[in-house]
Amino acid sequence: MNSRLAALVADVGARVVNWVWRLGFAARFFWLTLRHSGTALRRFPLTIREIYFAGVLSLIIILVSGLFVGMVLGLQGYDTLARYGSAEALGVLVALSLVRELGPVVAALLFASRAGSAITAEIGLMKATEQLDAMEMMAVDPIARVVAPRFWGGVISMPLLAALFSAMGIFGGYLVGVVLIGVDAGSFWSQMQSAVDFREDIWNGVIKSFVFGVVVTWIAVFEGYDAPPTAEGVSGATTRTVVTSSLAVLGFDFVLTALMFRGV
Amino acid sequence: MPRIIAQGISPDRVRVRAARRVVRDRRNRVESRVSRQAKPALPARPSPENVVEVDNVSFAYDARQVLSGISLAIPRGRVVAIMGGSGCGKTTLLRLIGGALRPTSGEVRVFGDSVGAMNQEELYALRRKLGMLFQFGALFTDMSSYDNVAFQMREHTDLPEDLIRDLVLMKLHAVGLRGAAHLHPAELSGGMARRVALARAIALDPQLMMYDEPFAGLDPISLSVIGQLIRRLNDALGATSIVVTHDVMESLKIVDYIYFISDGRIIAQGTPDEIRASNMPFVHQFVHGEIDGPVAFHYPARAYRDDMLGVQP
Repeated sequence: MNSRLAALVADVGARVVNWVWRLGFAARFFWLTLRHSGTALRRFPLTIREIYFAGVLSLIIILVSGLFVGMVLGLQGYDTLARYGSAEALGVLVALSLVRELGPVVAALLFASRAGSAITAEIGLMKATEQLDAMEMMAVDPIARVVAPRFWGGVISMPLLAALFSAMGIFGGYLVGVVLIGVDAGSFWSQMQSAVDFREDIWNGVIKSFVFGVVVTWIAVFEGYDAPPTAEGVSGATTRTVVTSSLAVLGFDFVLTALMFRGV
Repeated sequence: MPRIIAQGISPDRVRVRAARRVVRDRRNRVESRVSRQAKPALPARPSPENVVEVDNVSFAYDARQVLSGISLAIPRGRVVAIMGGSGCGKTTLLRLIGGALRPTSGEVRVFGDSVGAMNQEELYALRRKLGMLFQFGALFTDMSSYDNVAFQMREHTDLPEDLIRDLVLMKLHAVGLRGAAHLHPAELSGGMARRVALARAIALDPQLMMYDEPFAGLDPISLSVIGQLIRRLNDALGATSIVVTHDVMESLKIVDYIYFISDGRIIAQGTPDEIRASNMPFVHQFVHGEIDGPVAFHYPARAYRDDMLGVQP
């Protein structure tokens, strides 16, 4: 019994130690990525290519999801607000929920599964097929040439995707609330306009989505670069990217919300 | 192009310089060929003539000892094969020479400088003089053959794009694949991919070429083509080549000297003729592909009879 308990404690301890080691590696890798970002920013076409792969190709899923989330918000919001006789505030409810919370968070979760997994799989496969080794042997640093452009491509794409998600969501809320249910269009838009503050709401939402962009893309490039060079290793790394970055987004969201909106 | 014009150098002058470089390279090549002919048998001792010197090098991955006290020398202009069974440490040795790994003990010197003591910048400076062909080519899958070959030129030089085009087509022509410039790696056969990777490896006219299992998984025609290319390119570039392989027949045709590695040690060495004539049991088994000998067919196990009858140990 005692020996089994000891083995359990040892196992938990080993996992924790391993986790701390990996976190240390990831932090060091993040620093290296920032240090080698010169090439990605100087030769901007490299980054633009990654913005296309991470951002433009994620547009469909982001826009369609945004539309439906906004439409559901319209339905649910109207149902609740109508009970208190304030259905005209639907615009405010939809807009604030989206720009403060749902836009950055849901867009980041979708971004993690669509673009994050693709980045991890691509870098992991480049490693497994010795493409990164070949680059090193050609005196080209893979962190500067492969990792940094992908990192910045993701970081730049994420706030734009979140903004598009929110815009599409507000349009979805308008479709359901105003066009379908018949809430007054004038009060829908004017209440939204007067209640949504640029700095408090929109800007904080942009900061959130930027932080999520950094976190998700960092996890994606790190998992890809650190993946064991086998088919099993790459598939494991891709799964870890989606799971870890989704959890990280939710965790960071709570912390950021607490910091930004505590007094509001 | 824009950068060169900004510096006040016209594209014509660039071409003149490139032409001068070609003449100078050709002269060096002739000189190196002459000096190679005058050279005596391979020296094993340190010498400025050696491009690579591996001095009593050991290497271990954690607890697993891969190389134990290896010493060898690779003289300028030669094609040298490093042979041995799978997992004997050949590729590790190549990685030590390229600086991808550092020896646990001993010293690896390339062009006279100790690779293990180099920082990243020095290592990258050294690697610009090296070319490496990976086992399965390691072509960049998101680029065409053309862009793969142009990769190093774009990364390391400021050559204008039209000059890069000429150079890339010359390199692809040398491996017979000028017509496949627009194809992506997924559209190439194994042999063609290996040849494109070879064109990419020689893109900047390296002084030392390293080949990691260049013959693995190729059909007989592709295999001969790669073999001949290794020899021809080495002589044309005035380079030095290290071929890590277990393909005996093809290697004996093209190389100048062979080192045999087994269990992390050099157990035999010599010219192709000496190796063919060797009656050393391991070399004989390896060269003739015999299934049993010093390298046993059976992995160590207890008695067959005991296993079959379920006798408890």
